[in-house]
Amino acid sequence: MFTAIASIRLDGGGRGRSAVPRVSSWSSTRDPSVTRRCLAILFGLLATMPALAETPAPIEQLRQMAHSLRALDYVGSFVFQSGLRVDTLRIVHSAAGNESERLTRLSGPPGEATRHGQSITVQQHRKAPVAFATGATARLLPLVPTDAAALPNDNYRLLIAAPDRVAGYHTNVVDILATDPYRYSYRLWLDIEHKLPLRVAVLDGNQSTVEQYMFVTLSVGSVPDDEALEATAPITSPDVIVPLGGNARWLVNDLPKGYSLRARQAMSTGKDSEQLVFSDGLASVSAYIELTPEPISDDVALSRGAMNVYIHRDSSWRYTVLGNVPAATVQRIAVSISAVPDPVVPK
Amino acid sequence: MNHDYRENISALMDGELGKDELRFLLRRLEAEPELAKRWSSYHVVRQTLRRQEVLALRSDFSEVIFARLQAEVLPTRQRLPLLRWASGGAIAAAVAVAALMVTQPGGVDDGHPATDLAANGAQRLNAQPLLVNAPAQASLATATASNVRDGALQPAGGIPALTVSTVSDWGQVGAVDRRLAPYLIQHYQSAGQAGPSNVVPYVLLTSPVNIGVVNDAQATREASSGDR
Repeated sequence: MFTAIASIRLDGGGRGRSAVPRVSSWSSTRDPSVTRRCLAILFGLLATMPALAETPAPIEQLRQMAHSLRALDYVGSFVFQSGLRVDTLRIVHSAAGNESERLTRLSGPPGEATRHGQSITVQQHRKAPVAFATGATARLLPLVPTDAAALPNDNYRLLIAAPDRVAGYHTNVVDILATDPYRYSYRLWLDIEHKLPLRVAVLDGNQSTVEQYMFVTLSVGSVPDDEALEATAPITSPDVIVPLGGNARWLVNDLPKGYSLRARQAMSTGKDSEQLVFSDGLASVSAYIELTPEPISDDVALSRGAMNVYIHRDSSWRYTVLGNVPAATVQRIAVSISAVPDPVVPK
Repeated sequence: MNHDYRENISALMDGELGKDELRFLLRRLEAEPELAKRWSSYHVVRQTLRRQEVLALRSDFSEVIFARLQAEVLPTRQRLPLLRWASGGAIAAAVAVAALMVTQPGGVDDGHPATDLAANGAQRLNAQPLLVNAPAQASLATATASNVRDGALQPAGGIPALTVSTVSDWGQVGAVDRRLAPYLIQHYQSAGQAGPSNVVPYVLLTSPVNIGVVNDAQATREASSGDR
């Protein structure tokens, strides 16, 4: 940039001077138009500096975003695109008490998810509601961890992109860029005042959008009434996942860099079944290991939007790996699962 | 396999095959599994290179095309070369339209047990399906409100692509999707405890779990290795 400002020009040399071209400095130029141009660019830069200085660092913006999602009351509608499917949804969030929120489908068959504290109830049209307990950080619009500093720097880079407007709000744009093909990148449009994520896009390795949502209306600060947060179906007591104790029985021999085992859980499909949960701090992957009643001959891969599933069979075991990660990640994990070898007993 | 057939398959994909040759080739495709596999492989490779979706057809796809050809009124005079070329494109377009006409996504109903997901996949793979795809299909697929044609993801960085479908019965796809629901619920439940899991994780759970594209990774690998 400063190369252009300095208006470097090649001088062929005047009479009595060396014929070797030389680079003249910008201060030595006699061309007044160049000087004016340089001054204009300089003033332009100076004018934008305060704005740049006011833009918080991306990590700080993510931290504020996590706080706002937790601490503010808001009601809004957004469009959610996953693959080729587009849905419209409404979210109502109340920060009072243990926090409550309700996500309602506005298009297609009715459906909703409600959260009261750490209990989430999900209901599909004409189906019995499913209730389950989740962690303290779980939200219907979660995206980043409460402690954004926990993002592993080796796997993601945080950048500020050009400002934009969403739903009538001016936004700062933060990029969370994956550093390898085993995780998605994310672009977040955060409103300047509250840092609420008004638009979020999940991008693959080609920077193509695989999933995104965007608010079309949003009201911040209006306290929703209880009725707006009440689940349509009666809430049942949530299922609780049982963590497994003892030594690990399964290994993932080729786990993509940055992912680590976060949990081992029991499954309802049999005492030998097991769920392994991996995360890189932003994306999570589950691996389900079960005895298969019938043999299958080939692997199967499924996808919907950002969600990918890979089913692999080895001997009499079936490995189902899924998560909102690229297809390569679930495949790599599924095909590299093996049983922990029995310990050698000394004679 | 004869080299001419490979050229004919390539011409059919480009919409440049004459009607008689098309008839003959479709019969061969029906009779020779090896040729059908080659046909599938060509499409897999092309769609993978173009990063496009792959649509699957029922096994009776060629019968439908035959029926359409039989019903077509034959021209009574010699056509100009340009028209002949255009008719090739029309046939390709008919193939695309027929693909959409004969493939209907299976509905999702209730009450099926959440077991044996992979066994279902094995049934699908044994069905010896026929794959067809064309650029026109992709655009038409976009225009239809279907849950089964979502875009597959193609990570960069030399990762093998997984975009092959060998589904011959969309109803079975629905069965596969149904059985994914418990896995998804437990994933979001445990992922919520372990950390964030998605942009809007519970949207998938508020609607029938139609995991759109069904891919056969094994077929992808075979297709990739067979065409190198």
